[in-house]
Order: sequence, then structure tokens, then C-alpha cells
Amino acid sequence: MLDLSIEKIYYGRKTILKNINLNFKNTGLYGFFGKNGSGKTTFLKTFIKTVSFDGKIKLNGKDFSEKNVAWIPTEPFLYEYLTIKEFYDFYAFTVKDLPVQSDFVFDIDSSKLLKECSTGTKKKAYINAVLQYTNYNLYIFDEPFNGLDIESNYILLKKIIDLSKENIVFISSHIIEIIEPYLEEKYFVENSELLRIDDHVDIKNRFINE
Amino acid sequence: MSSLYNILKYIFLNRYRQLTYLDSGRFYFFAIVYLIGILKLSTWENEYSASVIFVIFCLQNISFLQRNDFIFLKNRLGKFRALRIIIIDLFLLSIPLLFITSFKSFSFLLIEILLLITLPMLLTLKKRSSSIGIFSSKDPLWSTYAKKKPWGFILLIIIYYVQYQALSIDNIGLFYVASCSILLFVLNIFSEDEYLIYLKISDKKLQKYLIGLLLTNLKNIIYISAPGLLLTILFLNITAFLSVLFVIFCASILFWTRFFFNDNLIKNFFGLIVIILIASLYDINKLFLILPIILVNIILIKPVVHY
Repeated sequence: MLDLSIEKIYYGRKTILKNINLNFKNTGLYGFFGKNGSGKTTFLKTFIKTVSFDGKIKLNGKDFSEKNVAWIPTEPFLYEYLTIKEFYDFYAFTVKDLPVQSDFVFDIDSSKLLKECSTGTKKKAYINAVLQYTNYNLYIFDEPFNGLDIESNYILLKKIIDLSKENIVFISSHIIEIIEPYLEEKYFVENSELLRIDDHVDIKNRFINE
Repeated sequence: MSSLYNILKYIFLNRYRQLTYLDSGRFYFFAIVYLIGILKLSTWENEYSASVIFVIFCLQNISFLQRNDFIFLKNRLGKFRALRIIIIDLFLLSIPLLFITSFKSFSFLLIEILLLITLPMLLTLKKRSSSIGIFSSKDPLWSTYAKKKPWGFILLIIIYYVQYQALSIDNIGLFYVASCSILLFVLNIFSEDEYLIYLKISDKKLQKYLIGLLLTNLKNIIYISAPGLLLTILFLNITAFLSVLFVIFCASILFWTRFFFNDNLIKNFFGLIVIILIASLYDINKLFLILPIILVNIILIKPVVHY
């Protein structure tokens, strides 16, 4: 389904990750873990092609396009002087051929100017804007729970689990306990390498033992 | 085509609100400068006035383009559509200037296209932090500004060039105007938001802290004014040198406005005009005239300090 054959991912002369050969055959939730600065976000950014890499990403045998990726970064970019509603509309104009989904993930006042919203509300607005559409090729959640309150975290988790039933969903998070039970596969980023962790191995031990 | 129009519509709406949010002073300031500039260029009365206005346009465009949306646009639209949006955006911003000068000078038009479209585009695509290491780390304001907006220092090179040109044709007035634009640049640095939580929780004495900042700012302003000072030594006399030094001192005093900061360019401009006025009356016995600078800023400042 999704094949990665990447020799290296790099910034300038610095290699961040190397020798990544992965094959994601099934839909499901795939977790990526590691310490701060280990390269989790850099790895995820290869799918939206905002980092340099040598190698290929194929989806169903064809070159992977970064356009139809639902990208939810830790700190999303927003045009802060638009209202939430205007940002939804703006996002809509950047989307092609994706059917509209009626419900937003979060219920927020869309008449507010984004500049005047809290960090959590801004993130909710961004998530609403992205997930108002379906049929993305790939969903990427990079530290999605940061900045959200507990209730919103559970709402988002439920949404992510629902999405993973029919899509490939990548997630990176430091809150391992919440997502570990739902993971199809889990990976650990360490020493410029991406290592698959066996299902029966508790990922927390990777941190605690050190 | 429709989506392209709508995307640009929202980008321009966001930019307009950014300029008018809470305080529409900046927008009107730019609008007035823009209209006067267009009028002046259309008559093309004086080569130097055209150059000065052109510098203002460059500044304005660079200032408008403090954008960090390329990655977002690239993710949403793909690399080529995102590039197309940015180029069209730049083109729309520059249309009046390009239109007017296209009738006047073809070579000038080419330079404009290079500066107004190509340069900001490259700056947007290749955003990287670079450092200008001369600024003291004791006061992080200048060093942070240098890392965040290193391209802002391009303006200084233009100012040095105008200073040199002014002196080489004995146009002292233009030299002083160019020197004062260094002050505008300094005020722009002082307009950066200041997070004062460190000072609030520190047990350092306020007087000592402020004197330390005064010295640091004085040193930083001397650094960026050094080429101008050198030119006064080479081309002018000791009185002119002292005058420029005096202006530098006046600018250093304004550093404390950061703590209240006024995010309104018009109000800032008042401060600048007072400095110019005082500098024109330069006399060692009139040093007390610095007081109005402080007074004007006390009256006009709008506290937006961040804790």
C-alpha cells in the first residue's frame, strides 16, 4: 500500500535519518516515538516533502503526492487575522476532489478572530479545517494532543481511532499510554534510525531502561 | 482560477487586518507614503528623491513579506501552485510601482522586478536563521532581531550607499536624512515585543539594569552607524561628526520606549521628528532638549508589554 525506500533524510549536510525501508500494507494507526530531537517530526515531514531526502515513497505503486495529506503539526500554521470561519473557507479553496464531511471534530465559535483565540482553540480550528474533508491519502498527527484540554484530547483520540479504521494514520506522541492500545505497529526513532518495535514489547521500557 | 482568486483574497484580507488590527496607524502611514511615492515617481522630478522613495517601497515590500506560510501552502497546493501564488501575490503588491516606472526607465524596471519580486520570493523560500554576531548577548533584543530578520539589515547597506552618494555630491541635507533613517531602523528594532517576565522576577536593581541597557544600545547603534561616522570624518568636519554622534546618543535614549512599546509607526515617527529637530539645533548647551523626546514618548506610548 505505502512503500518507503529512503536512503537518508537530511538538512543541509546533516543526516537526520538513514536507511528507512518500510512497507505499510494495512490501514491502521502507526505510532512513532522517540526522545525530543530524535527525528520523529523530520521523518513525518518527508510525506509533505518539506525536508530533503534521497529515496522514494510510493502509494499503491505510484509516486506519492504530498498534496492529499492531512497534516496536523504540533504548532499548526494559521492566518491569524482571519476568523475561524474564514480560515475554514480558505482551507476549502486549497482542497481538490475531496468530499465534504458535515461535522467538525470540535464545536467552537467560528466567528472569532484566530488571533484572539487561545493556543488550544487555534489548534482545534486547524484540526476542524483539515478534517472537514475525508479521503486523504494519508493522515499525519504530529504531537496532536499538545495544547488541548483533556476533554478535547479524548474527542481527538476517538476521531483518530475512527480514521485509522479505513486509512493509514501516522501519529507521534509522548503520551504513549493513551495511544499504545490502538496501534497497528510502533516505531522508535533513535541514533538516526527508525526501528520497528515488536507488538509485545512495552514502548515505555525504551525510555525507562536508559 | 476561482480557487486561486479566493486563496489570494484571504491572504490579502489577513494582511490588511494585520496592518489595521487594534491600531490602524501603520496602515494609514504606509498608505500615505505609498500615494506620495507614486505621485513623486510619476513626476520623476529628482533622481535622488526617486531613489529614496524606491528604498521605502523595498522596505514596505520586505515588511509585508514577513511570511511563514510557504510550507503550509506547499502542503496544501503542491510546490508549483504555492510558488505561483507567491509570485502573483508579489506582483499584485508591486503593480503600481512597476506600472509607473515601466514608462520611465526600462533598466530601473528590471532592477525593481529583481528587488520587489525575486528577492522577497527567495527570502520566503529560503528562510533560514543567520546571525550577525556583533550585538551583545546581554540584551537579546538586537541579536534576536538580527537572527529573526537578517534581511532587514539590507536596508542599512542602502542607507550607507545614499550617505556616500550624498556626500560625494555635497548634498548635506540628503546625508542627514539618510542618517536619520538609521534611527527609523533602530526604532523598528525597539518596536519588537519585549517579554519582561525575566526582569519582573529578577532581584536586579532597575537603575542598574536600565543603565546597562543604555550602554548596550549605545554600543549597538554606534556599530550600525560606524560607516556614516567614518564618512563624516572623511568628507566633513568634526562638528558634523559630533552632530551624528549626538543623534546616536538621542536614539540610544529611546531604548526604554521598548518597555511600553508603541506599535504605532506614526507615534514612533513623532519621536524621530523630535530627534531630528534637536539634532538640527545641536549645541552642547541645549542638551536638556533631550527631555522632550522622553516627554513625547511618555505621552504617546501605549503599554503593550508582555509578561
